[in-house]
Amino acid sequence: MIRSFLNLFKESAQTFEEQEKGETVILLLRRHLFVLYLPLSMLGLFVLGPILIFLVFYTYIATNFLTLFLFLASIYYMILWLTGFYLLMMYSLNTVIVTNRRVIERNQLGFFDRQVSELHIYRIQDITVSTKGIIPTMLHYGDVIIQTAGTEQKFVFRQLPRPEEVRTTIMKAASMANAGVKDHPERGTI
Amino acid sequence: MEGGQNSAIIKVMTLQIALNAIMFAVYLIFWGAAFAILYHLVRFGVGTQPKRFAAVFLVGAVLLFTASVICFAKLDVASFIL
Repeated sequence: MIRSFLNLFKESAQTFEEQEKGETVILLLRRHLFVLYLPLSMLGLFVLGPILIFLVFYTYIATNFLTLFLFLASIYYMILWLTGFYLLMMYSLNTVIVTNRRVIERNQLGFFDRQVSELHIYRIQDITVSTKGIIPTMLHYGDVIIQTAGTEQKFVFRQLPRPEEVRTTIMKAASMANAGVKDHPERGTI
Repeated sequence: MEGGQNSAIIKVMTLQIALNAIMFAVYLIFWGAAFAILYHLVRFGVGTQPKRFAAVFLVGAVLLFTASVICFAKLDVASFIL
């Protein structure tokens, strides 16, 4: 029982809520980690705040207000903890799932505010990869733009890591779906 | 003299009750937000990453909450007034 619980954190099945019977996940994509680094590093600077205040006013705080200071610092760190994990939650829940049937984009906009859009893989006509700027080029991330059949809107998946590989995999899945192949041999996470 | 002492005790007790009420509200908001984050990560997360985040978050939240409660219990409210 403990082993099966621990396996949740190691090899949790890539299943999702609206999954159809026989539908398998080929790719599970999230934005590039670099997108997360900036807000998290800002938060890291905020973490240093109370430590610096304590070091600067060490003698004054230690003699007069040590308990009060520790109490206020603990409240401050509780707020930072919530903010940090709110950012991680938003990063983690904004996903693009490529299955053997559909491409599903799940946008988490806030607490209890979610947007799910999907497109059937056989409707994909062409996929464009857009990498703009020095940092995206060096870190290999960019936008994947999917054009569907007809006059429907384009699907734009922003800041995905290794967009060329994503394009190749989606095109393979699309061609296999069009050829009537049921299962897909490649599965993984980029 | 005794009247002055009584009013000081009443002041301290009032402050203590007010602080307790405020901290109860603060901790309630904290656990409300923590529940919302855990709920989203576990309910809507796909793959292992959100579950790991949820586990780390829960452990950290419990530790910070415990530290905060201990610090709050050690606070000497009387020293703010007297």
